[in-house]
Amino acid sequence: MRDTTAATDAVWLGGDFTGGNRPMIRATIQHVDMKLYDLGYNVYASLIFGDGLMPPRELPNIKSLKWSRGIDTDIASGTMELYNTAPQPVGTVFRPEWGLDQPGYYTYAKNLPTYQPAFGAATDEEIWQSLVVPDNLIRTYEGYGFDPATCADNDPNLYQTGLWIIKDVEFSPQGLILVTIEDLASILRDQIAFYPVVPKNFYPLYFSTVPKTSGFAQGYTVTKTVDSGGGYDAAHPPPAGWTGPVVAPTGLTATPVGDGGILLNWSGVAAPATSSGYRLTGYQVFIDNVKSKTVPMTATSLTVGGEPFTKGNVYVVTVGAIYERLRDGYQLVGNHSNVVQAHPHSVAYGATAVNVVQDDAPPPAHVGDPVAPVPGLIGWDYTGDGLVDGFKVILFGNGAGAEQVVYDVPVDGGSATRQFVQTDVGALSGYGTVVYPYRLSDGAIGQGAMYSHGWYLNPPTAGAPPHEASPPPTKTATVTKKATATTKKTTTVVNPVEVHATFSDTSNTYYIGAGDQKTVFGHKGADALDDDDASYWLSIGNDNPGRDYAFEWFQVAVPNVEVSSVRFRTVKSGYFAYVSVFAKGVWVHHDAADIIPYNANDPISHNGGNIPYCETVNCRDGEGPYEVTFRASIPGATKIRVTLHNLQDFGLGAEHYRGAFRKIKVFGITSSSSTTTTGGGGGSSKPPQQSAPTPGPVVDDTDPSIVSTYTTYIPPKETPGAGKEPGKYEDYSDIIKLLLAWGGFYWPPNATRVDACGKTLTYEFGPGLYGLKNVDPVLGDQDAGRVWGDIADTGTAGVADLPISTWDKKPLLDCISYVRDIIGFVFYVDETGGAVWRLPNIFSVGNYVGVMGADAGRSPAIPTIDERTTLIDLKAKLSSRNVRERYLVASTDGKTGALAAGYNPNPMGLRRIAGWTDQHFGSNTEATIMADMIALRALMVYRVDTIQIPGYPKIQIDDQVRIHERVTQEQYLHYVRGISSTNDVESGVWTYDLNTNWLGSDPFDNWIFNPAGLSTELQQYLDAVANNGSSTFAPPPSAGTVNEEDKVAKLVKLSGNPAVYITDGITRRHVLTSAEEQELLSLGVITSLTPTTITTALMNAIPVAD
Amino acid sequence: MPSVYRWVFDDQAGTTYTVPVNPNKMSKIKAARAITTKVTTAVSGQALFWEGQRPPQQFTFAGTLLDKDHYDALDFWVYNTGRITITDHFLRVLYVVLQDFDAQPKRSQGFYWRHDYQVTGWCYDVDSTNAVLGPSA
Repeated sequence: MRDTTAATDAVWLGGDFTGGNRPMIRATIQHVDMKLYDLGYNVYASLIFGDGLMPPRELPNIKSLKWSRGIDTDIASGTMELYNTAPQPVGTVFRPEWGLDQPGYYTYAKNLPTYQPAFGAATDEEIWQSLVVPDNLIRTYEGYGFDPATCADNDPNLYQTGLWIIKDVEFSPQGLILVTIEDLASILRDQIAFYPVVPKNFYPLYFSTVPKTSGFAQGYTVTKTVDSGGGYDAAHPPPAGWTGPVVAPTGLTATPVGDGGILLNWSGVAAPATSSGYRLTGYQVFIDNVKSKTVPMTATSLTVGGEPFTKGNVYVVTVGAIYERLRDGYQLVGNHSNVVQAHPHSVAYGATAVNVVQDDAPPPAHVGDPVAPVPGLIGWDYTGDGLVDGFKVILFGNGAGAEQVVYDVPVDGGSATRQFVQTDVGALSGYGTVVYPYRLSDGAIGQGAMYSHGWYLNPPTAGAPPHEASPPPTKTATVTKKATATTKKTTTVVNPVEVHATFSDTSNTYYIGAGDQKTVFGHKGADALDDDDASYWLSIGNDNPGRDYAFEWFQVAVPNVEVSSVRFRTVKSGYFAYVSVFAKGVWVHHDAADIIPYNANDPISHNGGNIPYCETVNCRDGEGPYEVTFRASIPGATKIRVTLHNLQDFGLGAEHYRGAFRKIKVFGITSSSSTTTTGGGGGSSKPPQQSAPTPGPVVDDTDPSIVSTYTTYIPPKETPGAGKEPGKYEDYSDIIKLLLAWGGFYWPPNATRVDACGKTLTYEFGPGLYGLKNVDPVLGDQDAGRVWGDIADTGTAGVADLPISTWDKKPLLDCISYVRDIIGFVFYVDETGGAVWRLPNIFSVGNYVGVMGADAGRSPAIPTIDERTTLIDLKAKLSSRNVRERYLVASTDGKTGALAAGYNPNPMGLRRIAGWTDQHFGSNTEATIMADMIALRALMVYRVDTIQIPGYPKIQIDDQVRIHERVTQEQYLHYVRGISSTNDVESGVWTYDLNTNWLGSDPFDNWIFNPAGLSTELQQYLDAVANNGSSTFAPPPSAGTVNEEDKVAKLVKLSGNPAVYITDGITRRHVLTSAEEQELLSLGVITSLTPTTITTALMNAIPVAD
Repeated sequence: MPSVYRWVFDDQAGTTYTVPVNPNKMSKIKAARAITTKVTTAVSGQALFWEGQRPPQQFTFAGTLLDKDHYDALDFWVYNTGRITITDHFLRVLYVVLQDFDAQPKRSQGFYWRHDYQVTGWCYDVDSTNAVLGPSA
């Protein structure tokens, strides 16, 4: 059933089809090329959304239109008569030899030497002569009245009554063209299940059942428990009141071993020991904050080498002790660190600093000269006097980005102890100290020493050498600068290094196409990855920087590495950036809510920006560079995306607000990234700043009992079905969908067509589940589309395979019919060219509404055809031609089968049995369902009506209508099995001839069959298929839910005469019994026992007595 | 000003003809509406009215012509034109296609070409925008 306007309804009921309400036919014609969509795994075809060589043209001179469609008719068909002449306008030259006007104006190829499909250079007449030919598409529109100011597609008075393909065109000397048309089901008849209609990977066609797996899965978060990598476990700080033992490793020394490595030795606890519930389990070595290696607790030496160290650089080596807390599991560690190791190749010259002290700690016992704890005092012992020119003293604060200050302390020899007071940073209790010697003549540096407080303090940040403090020292944060051959006193890290990143994708792809060479105002993707800082990638424009779709992104691919940070430079400032990492198949984030707030449901949205993110940064510091360090490095990364919001005004194009990147770099940890060279002006940037560890204990990440957790968001996912799995199907409807999509009913993403007004119409799927595209998983992945139509699942599939012989080289329509006969569904093509595949509408009261799959629904509304207003003619026919007493359904092997009782309103003991055997019934249940369905179908044709009414586009086949006619005792619901429309413009008469099946008044009261009497198997099947699992076979509706129509039926039934019930007490022919009145009262038909209280609405609906 | 407006034939392509003598008979120029009726099946059912396209109206005009020029002109306008307009004595513009020119010679002294004639044609539109109430005084 279709929605019609109140004006149309009023005209139809009013019976005045004259003047402005005259019946009207309009039609458009169009040449369309079938368009193929090769998805790689399947090839689908669309005729409806094919490539039109020209917009549709409106057909003039329509004399009449007849069409018919029905449930039992595979292909709807019709004829259209056109006058084959065009007016010769007044004022044009009359040619007697030609005759009046322009006869034959539309005759095929009259003026064309050969058929020419290219219309561009043709005259209007030639265009028409190439249009009214077979295989072109015609859309017909009919209704009452019309609007000449608009095209047929948009005429508010008209309704599309068909999408047809021309099959025959006949021209006659009398000036008429007779066009025979069929609906698009004909292309399913004319194409066979053979290559290329069936793609190569599906041919020859066969199907095997597989369990249902296709569909959409909602995104979700998972909390993973993992070995706590990274060395510093901020997630497991010491519990409050921690007083566990901190047995610091002592006496740490570093000795070069000649291959670039160093040998570490220290003193520690040599055996497990329990003390206050704790025990030492091992040691952990760190080089410049990066965990190097865990050693067994019994070891007190370790060789670290040979790649990590670079000549001329200073490294901070730390050894921490790892503790196990017996009562609460492995959780707590303490540590201590105490050494600076200069480059091993420089250490040999001798100068060494040892025993560093600060003002806030008592001097170690072995410091010879007592040092008074005065503010700012730093003292140390050293050897090698006379060989060095001075010492560098580095103060480093605690925490990420803490200040670091370096002081130059020249020495002139002679002293073995040096005291140094520097008060510009105040008391030194917040700092650790590194002291090492240097020599100016060759730039060599010597072994140094480190002082820190009881808990670990942050050493110089990796890659960030301390600034020179003289003159005068400042207290700024780390300054990154390029190391050169003359600035040897730098610090750096072993890892991470820059990762080779290549172009992957951008948010521009949807609009300008894919690839790093696609340009927007001359800027291309490759510009963000080259070494030219002047070039940059530019996004497409947005009208407002704050729109929920105004997110522009740039994505790079990396070779499956553990990424630690991203550095980028923008063009302009003020963005808000999201950094996303795609690792091990998912977009990673740390919280379920960390989804970029890109509104994918906005009709303008197409760039898929709503993905999870790991980190954000407010880009308000000019163009950067901005370095984003992940809170934990992420292994298995393959894609990095940086998304910009709060876009900036570039003054380019109509939409000014854009995003732009000058450069994007990724840093990570790879097996080959053990060395980072910073010297020599080679242009190499330093590694990103490491995320500083939270002060506290170190965790051994090799101990399986020490774990940490983090949350990962698993995005929504689609699992494709039969369209990507040749030979497999999960539901009989999968087969139907594939056959339709191959045959020309494919509904591609972003489908458009041009109407007769020249306007481009877009047909979207609408939003899908969980933010995914609303494609049909049966057809494939998210790059696939849907089938144009209303395709219901059957909820079942055959047990046995459907072999090649079932399908091969048969018309697609026959293949569909094969499945239809198994399932008992109906199949037809509706007025818009949409395929309809569903259960016949006979199991509950109401109608399907909507003309295409996307908005199809169900309505309780029933059109009423009343003898007083719209019923022109009616014939009610009873026939026993299809009556059988029994229906047998069985498999061919005889192992499964069922017998169903037939319906015969007038049984006389005949033993008529109908049988159906098929090799695909796998169970008695299936056979029972089939037998019951066949019995119902036979019953449907026992009582049929043929009625004539004025044309009414609201009514479609597979609808239910209610008919009121007194002679044939009709006041019941009927099922519309077929419609024949005759619309003659000359006479102005437009009628529908309906073929209907009698249904009854209510499925639980006077219905064609008793639903409760159906087999349990069929009831369950119908509930599953037609009612989404809810029961249709529940008890009859309560009185409160009885609608007006049903009240009328009840009232009429009780009255004993469908035509008579009068409430004024004067002409009343049937006196209700008390029981009847009580029943009516209980149903709400009347509100008291006084008949005159029956509602006006009811009275209007009841046939009036004669 | 004339006491009566003369009929003017116009092919709208630059050729016009004003008759020397107006016809003295003229039939209806508008067709009847194409109405079809049915009644719904109830005894008290309502009447249904459909209206189709109103076809062109066959119409005639007749009169007397006195000279050969008039005769030739009518003959030309009937048999050698397509869609033309005729502006009648009410200054209504009739959109017509002329079909037949039936001229019967009559005896007459002084008017050797006198005929009584009848022209048959089809009127498919009427523009009464400039119609007048009567001839100017």
